[in-house]
Amino acid sequence: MGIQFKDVSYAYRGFKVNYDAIGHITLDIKPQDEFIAIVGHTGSGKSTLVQHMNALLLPTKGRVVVFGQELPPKKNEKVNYLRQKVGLVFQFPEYQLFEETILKDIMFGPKNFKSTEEEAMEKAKKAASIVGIDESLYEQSPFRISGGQMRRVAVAGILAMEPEILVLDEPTRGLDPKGRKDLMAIFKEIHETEHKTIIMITHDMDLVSEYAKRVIVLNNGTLAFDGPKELLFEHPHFEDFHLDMPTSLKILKHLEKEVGIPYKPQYDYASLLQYLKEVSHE
Amino acid sequence: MIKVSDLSFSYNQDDEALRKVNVTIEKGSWVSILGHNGSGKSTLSKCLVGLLAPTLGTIIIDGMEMNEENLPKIRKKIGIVFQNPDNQFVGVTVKHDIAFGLENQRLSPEEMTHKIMHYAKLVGMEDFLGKEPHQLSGGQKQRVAIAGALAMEQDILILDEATSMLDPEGTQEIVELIKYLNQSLQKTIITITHDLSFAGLSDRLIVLKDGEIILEGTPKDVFKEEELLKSSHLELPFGLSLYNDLAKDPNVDPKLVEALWAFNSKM
Amino acid sequence: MNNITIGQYIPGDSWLHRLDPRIKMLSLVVLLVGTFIIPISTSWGPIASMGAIFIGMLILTASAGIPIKKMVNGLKPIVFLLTFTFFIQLFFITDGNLLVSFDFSLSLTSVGAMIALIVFYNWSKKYVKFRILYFLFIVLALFAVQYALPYLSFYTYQLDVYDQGLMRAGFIFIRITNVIIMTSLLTFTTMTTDLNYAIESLLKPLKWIKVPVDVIAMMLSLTLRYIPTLLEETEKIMKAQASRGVDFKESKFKDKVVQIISLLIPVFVISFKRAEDLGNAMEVRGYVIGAKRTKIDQYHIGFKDIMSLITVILFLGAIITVRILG
Repeated sequence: MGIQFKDVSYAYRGFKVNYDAIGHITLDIKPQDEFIAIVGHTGSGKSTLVQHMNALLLPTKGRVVVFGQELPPKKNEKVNYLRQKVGLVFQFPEYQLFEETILKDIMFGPKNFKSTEEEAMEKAKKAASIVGIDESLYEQSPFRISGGQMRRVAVAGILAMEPEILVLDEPTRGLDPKGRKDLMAIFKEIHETEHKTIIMITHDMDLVSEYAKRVIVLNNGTLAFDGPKELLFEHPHFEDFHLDMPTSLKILKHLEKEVGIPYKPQYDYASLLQYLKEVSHE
Repeated sequence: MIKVSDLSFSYNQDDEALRKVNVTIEKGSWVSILGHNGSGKSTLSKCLVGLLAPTLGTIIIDGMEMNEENLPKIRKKIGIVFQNPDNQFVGVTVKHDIAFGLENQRLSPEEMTHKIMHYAKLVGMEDFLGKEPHQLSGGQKQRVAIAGALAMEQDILILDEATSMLDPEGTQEIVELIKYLNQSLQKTIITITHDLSFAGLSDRLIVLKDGEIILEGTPKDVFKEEELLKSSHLELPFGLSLYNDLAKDPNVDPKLVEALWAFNSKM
Repeated sequence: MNNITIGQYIPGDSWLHRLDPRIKMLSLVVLLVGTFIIPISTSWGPIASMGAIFIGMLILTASAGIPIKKMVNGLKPIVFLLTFTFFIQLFFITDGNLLVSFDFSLSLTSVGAMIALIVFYNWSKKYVKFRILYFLFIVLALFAVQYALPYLSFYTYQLDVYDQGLMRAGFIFIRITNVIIMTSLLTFTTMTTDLNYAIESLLKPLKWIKVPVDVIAMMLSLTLRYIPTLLEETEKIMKAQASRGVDFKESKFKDKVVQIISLLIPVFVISFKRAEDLGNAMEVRGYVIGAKRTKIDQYHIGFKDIMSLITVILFLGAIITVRILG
């Protein structure tokens, strides 16, 4: 089960020439317990890659297998059901809101996948509480709440479908610092309590450092790195990936140079603070 | 120079977006206005460019009071770049968009062409003059917006969350450009943002909360007030927060704390 | 980033490309008027005029460097109209001399064969290169089958072809084709911004009767600017809703209604927000509705432009003369 990419390429049909948005990608993603960050420069193919995971795009070469379903599918095979199994949250997902009330909008996804009205409402309420949308907002119009709340409603709309794998395209883009923190905490909670695999596209290396276990780096449409984040940041050819270092590692390198503190990688704020306190007490 | 006195604005009877705000912005300075969503920062910027008329109080720009009579003259002095790169790009191509403001000012085609070339070069978009907006990235579109404002010879530029919708690459392009405009061209810059690393580059910070100014000063002074900032949903950049936490702890080696400050200044 | 540009412009440097857009548009109007003035008749005058226009258009197409294939593609949208009109004229005009009479029958065999043909066409059309010709061929086959298979018939009817009918059908066919070629020539050789300018210029006289031409021109310009952006945004919303289970192909009718709403409302919301933001941006940049503005684009009418316009007007004059005389 899970998602496999087997030598996958996707070509966009351009004006005069086709060009490969992604080329020769081979990946294996387990259906549980993975937290993967997909990073790469703008235009490296990240969005194209993840749109193959719920069959929005079909490979022009190679095969993708999602929960046992081959893509491209055989003639007459339906693939819509995959979109319930792999929930994809787009960039600025608040643009997808349209229903009269918040609860109805969250119910939209489940109802499209054959939930009854009662089942959909159950799922919607559960999803709403996960993202922190209070009961009092259920009957409100989704257009009368703040931007941060709209984003959470949109995310709830995907969570309500109860997908097995969550794919997030820059989920925190455009949010203020508090909004970012709150949203990531929700995803972390889901990952830890429900063991769902989470795949996240991001440009923020601090997010990668704090939350991801595994990192996939795309460079001009090809796979440049696929492995644990610890190995990525130690990689001898890190420059070639055109990525920034996470702030915590930058600080540690700086402190090693200036005050001779031994470089021991710390990947989030709390660990870094603790380490520095320990080290300077000696 | 901009002088805002006792500025109050209400959208309707129970919604006071701004309460008796007093601000002075010196010519050639770079001021950042920070605040949570709904703190009144966008309302303030709209009042400064004359899109909203204050309920109470006055705004004086370079000696001219903001009123209907002076508006056309004030419009020549102060420009604004908004958050959504697509929603302010008027022209069919880059060239036409930069020309838009100049056409409104009734310049001749010759004068316009000269200015367009000059300011497109300044923002690094001279090779894109014939491109249509959907062929450009967010950062490129914002650079075109800035070129348009510069071409109108506006000396005061407001950037209202101009980098919020951009990726890090685009944000970096804009930050570099703003530094250049302020330091080399002495433009007065007002940035409205919730990104404290960006705000940290400016000369002065003003923090708004629920329509009032709760904090004002240099970045160094303002960043010390971590609790106050947190109450405004604002977060210090990683390095600064770390600095504050370690500086408070007496058991921590002061050399380490100093090195951390050096790291933050480099950013 | 996208490789689409707004409109159907085919880049090129021919004399037609370089002609002033106002002249091109004016010439198009004159030529259209001329084409419709030509009466439908079998006398030499009208046939010669219509034929001359057709040949003239082909020459212009070649000299502008437009590939014939593109021109034929321009006819695709109206293939149905053309075929329908052709057959209506062919069979229902009863003037003149009877040329031939067909007995068609709807019979079990012919209806069966027609259904088979239609099913075959739907399945096979994706494999065929020349779709328009294939479509016409199938239509002829549908008629042929009704003629050739009268076995087990339950209804017969007769369609007569008169010489007037045949002639009218042909005439109208050529006329519609001419109109399409003319307008295509304009859109293929003129950039959208230039077309915009031409429309604005030609509408200027309406200012005298208080029509807000400048405002209309600005609205047109903004619409053109936003079409690609809107298309991209619509695609994004379609994908987002597809990710929530919206599937147009595999859903019941009543679900389709909600699904279309799930597409329309976000697009409307985005557009209204855009209108508000754009209004603010334009106002701050000094735009005042109705105020005088200059324009960066300059167009010059040169010798070639004037000669072209004169040629076209003379041509119209010739057509009118021929009509009066003939």
